[in-house]
Amino acid sequence: MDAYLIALGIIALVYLLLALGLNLHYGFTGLINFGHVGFFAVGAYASSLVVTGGGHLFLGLAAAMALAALAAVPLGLLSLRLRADYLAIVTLGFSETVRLAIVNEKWLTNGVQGIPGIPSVAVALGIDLDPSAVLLVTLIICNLLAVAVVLRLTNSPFGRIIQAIRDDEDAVNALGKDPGGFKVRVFMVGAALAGLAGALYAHYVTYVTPDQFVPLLTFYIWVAIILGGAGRISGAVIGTLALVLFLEGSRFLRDIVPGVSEVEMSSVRLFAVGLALVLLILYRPGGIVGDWTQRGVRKA
Amino acid sequence: MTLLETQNVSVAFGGFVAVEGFSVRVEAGERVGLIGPNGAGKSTAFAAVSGFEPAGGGKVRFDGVDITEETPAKRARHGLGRTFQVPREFAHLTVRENLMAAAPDQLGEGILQLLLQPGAVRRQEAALASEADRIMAFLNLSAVADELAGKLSGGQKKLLELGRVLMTKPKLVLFDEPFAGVNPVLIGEISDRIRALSEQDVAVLIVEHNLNALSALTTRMYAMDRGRILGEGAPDDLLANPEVRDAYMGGVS
Repeated sequence: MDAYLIALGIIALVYLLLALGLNLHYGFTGLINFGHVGFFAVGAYASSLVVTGGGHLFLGLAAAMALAALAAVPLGLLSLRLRADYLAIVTLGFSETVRLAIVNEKWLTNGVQGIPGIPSVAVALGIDLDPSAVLLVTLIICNLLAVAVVLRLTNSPFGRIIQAIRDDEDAVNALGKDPGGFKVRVFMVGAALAGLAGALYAHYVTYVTPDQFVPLLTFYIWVAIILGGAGRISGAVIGTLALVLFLEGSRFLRDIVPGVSEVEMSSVRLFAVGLALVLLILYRPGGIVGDWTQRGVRKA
Repeated sequence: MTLLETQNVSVAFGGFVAVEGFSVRVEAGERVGLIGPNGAGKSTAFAAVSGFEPAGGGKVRFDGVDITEETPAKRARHGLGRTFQVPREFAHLTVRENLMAAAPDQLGEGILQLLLQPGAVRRQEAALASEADRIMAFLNLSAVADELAGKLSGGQKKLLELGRVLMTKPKLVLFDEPFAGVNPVLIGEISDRIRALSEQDVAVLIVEHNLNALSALTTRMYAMDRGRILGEGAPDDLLANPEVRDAYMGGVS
């Protein structure tokens, strides 16, 4: 049971890193990014290649964040010229492009066979403890740092401008500030967090293959920030917890719901997640803690 | 000193010429009006001056610089501010945050500066906050300083937009219908604030349909119709001009 809880915690914390980044993109800046898993994949492969190639783990993590941030630059530049809905399509295309590139560039990525034998964080650092526990602690530290950075960025003049961009981009322009530079930087920071998540995930599962990086993961993260409340850090945290509880907790529906086979059960689980989301949108459209539009409501 | 000068600016949407031969000038500290019936091209001319609509021809000079090809943000940084016909407040920021966001040259807009120079950022924030407080007092917005801007009344949003432009320390402000949808008391208040601005040498160019309020406020006006400038002069003279009267009556000569 302990092992199961640790595994749950690891997945939740990987998702949380992803959600913190996507929340910066969408919740704070209004950028509709449907390709978040692309940054996750870049990070996972970057660190896997560096570390299996003999590089230090820290070098792998740094490369994961740097390359994911770099991959975000062209998307950030595109976002200057695209309306929100078109950006959504382009980012979705980006993440699929990353996945197909991984499939096809066999010389680098080993194609669909993937990269096996990625050392866990504990092995890479030579720590003689339970690898899962070591990873859990690493993830907790990374998430705390990420929350600190996101808090610093959003409660600042920078944060003011990105939220202003979300509310009205033309007005930001009229005040003499180029929204473009802000959007590119937001894209890069959020992507770096996703890259770090990808790297730690790779060192958790110890092998990577392209089929781990499908758009479904992007939409799980979207579900998390919508569940919790976009544009708030507490929203990302609560939403991620709720998502993991739903995805994992619905396993136990088997014990309650009679007359459902193992195969049918996976559909029932997705049905439960969907139903929860529909009910939430109906009764609490801003998410569990409320999104940015509800800011200050309780004060009033 | 001439602050803003446009020469033969034209804007066309496909085959439709919205503005043609638009030549105006505004001196430093001057209060100038721009009138004309609906569809005359006033807002489009504004957009060409502020950079939101590229000029198809002609030149726009501001403060001695040719800004015809510059982005709206760059023009604003020269000191060319504008408001919008429908207020464009940052709805989910407070009134104070709206004002502070507008201030130029903020150290804390850089990510590295935020992480490495927190003290300097904090000091600048304190200075900006008191600047915002001063402007809120000037515009009677102090009572709603911590309200979300989206919750303000229409008139308060107009004042907020004015305040935001003031935070940028403009040399000239383009007002697009500052009195539209505003009650008579507030019209007087906004007029007073605009007058006070020009006493501090900030020039204004105002598009407005409320001709009484506008002619009381400005010293000179231009009239437009069907994309062209019909005439220019002191408010009373211009409004007495038969061509201008015809344009407003919708008369076809």
